[in-house]
Amino acid sequence: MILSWPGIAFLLGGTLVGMVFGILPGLGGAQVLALLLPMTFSLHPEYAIIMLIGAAGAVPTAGSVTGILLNTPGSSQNVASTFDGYPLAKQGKAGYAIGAAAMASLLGALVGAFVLVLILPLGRQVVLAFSYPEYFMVTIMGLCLVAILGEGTMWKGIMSAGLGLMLAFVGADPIEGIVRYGLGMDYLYDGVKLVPVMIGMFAISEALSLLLGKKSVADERIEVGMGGVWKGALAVFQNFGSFLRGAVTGTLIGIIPGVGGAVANLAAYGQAKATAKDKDSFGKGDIRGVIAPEAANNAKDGGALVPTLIFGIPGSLDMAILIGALMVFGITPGPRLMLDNPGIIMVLVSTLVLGNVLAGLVILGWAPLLARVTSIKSSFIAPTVLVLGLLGSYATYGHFGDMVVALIFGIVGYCFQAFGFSRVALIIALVLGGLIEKNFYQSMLVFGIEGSLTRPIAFVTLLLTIAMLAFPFVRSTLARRVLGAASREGSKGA
Amino acid sequence: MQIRNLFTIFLIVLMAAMMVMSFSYEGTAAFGFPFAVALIVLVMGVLLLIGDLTIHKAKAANVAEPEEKKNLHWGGVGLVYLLLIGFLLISMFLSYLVAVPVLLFVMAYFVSREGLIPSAVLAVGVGGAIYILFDRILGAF
Repeated sequence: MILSWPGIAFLLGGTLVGMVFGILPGLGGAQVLALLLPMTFSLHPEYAIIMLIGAAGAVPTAGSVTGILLNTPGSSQNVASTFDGYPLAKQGKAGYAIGAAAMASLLGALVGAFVLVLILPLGRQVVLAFSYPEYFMVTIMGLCLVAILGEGTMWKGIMSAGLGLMLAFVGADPIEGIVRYGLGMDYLYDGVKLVPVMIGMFAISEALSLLLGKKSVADERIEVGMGGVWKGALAVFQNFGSFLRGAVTGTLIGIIPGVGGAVANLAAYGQAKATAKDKDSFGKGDIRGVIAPEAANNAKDGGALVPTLIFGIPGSLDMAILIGALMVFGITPGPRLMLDNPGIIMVLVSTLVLGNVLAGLVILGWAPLLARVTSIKSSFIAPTVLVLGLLGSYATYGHFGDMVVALIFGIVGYCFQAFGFSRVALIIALVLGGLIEKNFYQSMLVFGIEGSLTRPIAFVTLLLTIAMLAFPFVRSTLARRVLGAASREGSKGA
Repeated sequence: MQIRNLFTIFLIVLMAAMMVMSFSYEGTAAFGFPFAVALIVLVMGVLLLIGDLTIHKAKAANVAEPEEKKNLHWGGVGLVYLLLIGFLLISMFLSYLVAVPVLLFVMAYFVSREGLIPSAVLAVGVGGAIYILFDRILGAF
């Protein structure tokens, strides 16, 4: 399907839109997906997925251009790429850095997709070995991971996930069909809809920050040194070890639910520096400092699809939105997807590969042209995003109430950002809430508490979850004791 | 009191209300999870508030919390939201074809202090593009 002409057109369209959002600082994968989602509902599900994956895959690739040229990462996934990319641009080697970033992104995505294809057949075995208690525990563990490792502190992450679950409980309960928190409004009987919440939390809140923060996009522009793009692409092969380590790091981080591209990008940079013999050159324009993080932030998409496709647990925020899109099309991600709808999986994997190849080639060919997008003022971008977000939330179901919900969650998202709560945890909990509840009650009905807990995988997952939640407290208690003992020793010595 | 603490209080009140409401659901499945999750978030919210207030008292008044965003513009948020509510009302009672250019022009010209012509170009250009996208292509309106 992806190789048919509409498929290629949707891929190209999604990739180009994703690149524009990737290049514009302040906007990223979540925003482009939230805004594109309502526009894809009239399409065939597979074309919609092609467009969405194409857009999401192009964001980190394009974000490197702004980071290298302006020292302002296009998205949070490109922060580490500026550490050496911008110094290279200042040395007149912007084209060299952009070429390396584009080729590393392209090949990184291929590594991620390759690992995904290797792991997916194992997923079938996992699916057959799991039952309701295992799915319940794995979903809880995934949600806890998102809460712990996402934005803000662990405490606020867990609270955010709790709020997301409470939102998911609005509407009919999954067992008896009793309507909860309906407040007498027909609108709430079907529950809180994911699309307007996502548009509010990501598109509207970011547009507010962009508009009110008066973020400067292109105060400092580097116009020189755009030659050497292909030489930069070649540098990836000359530093293949750095590339491969970055790509593998990115894939592994992608597999952990909710961690995302920003962590993958920074971790790969740290690893590239730590494993280099000449560490001093990092931060001053070392091409390995561009190659490793850019390979990681694209490879993470392949990794993030692993929990998404096998368990229905979003590996990243982009995947949470993708799950929302699939649900709107009547496709339930998770264990049964691989058995019931393998065609969708093939579309996902092939789009991931082709979308990234396309984005890489566009950057290699037209990076200077694309960089001109940054000359659009944020005072023009932000109102456009606000209007697109509100109309998009309406267009999804044709209900004015959705625009009101998007507005409410716009301010909630702004407060979440301001006060250190995790928007990602809230969205992923909203997606997973129904699944958690259903799996829990089905576990109780079929196995009971004892039967559920005596199943080895469910029990081990429960222990892991408890350990994961307890670890930060145990660590800080031990650290306090060690510090206390050291200070007592010090005072005795004095 | 800081706005952060007011937000925490809002969350606490919301969770308390949701927890109380959960008692009215008779089925075990309908009651169980909402009650348990609301209780957990409520307790965590109360502890967060106590911690924040204690820290605030202990520290000097000019010391900001690390997670607090530096450039908050609550007045600006209020103004933008008034405009957005106006946008919703015009969309509902007149047409989005009127609301979109008006909102874009007002935001660019009055809020962002851009020039008259660039603001008008934005309003007409984006308004036209939105009409083509939502009306002609998607048939959403």
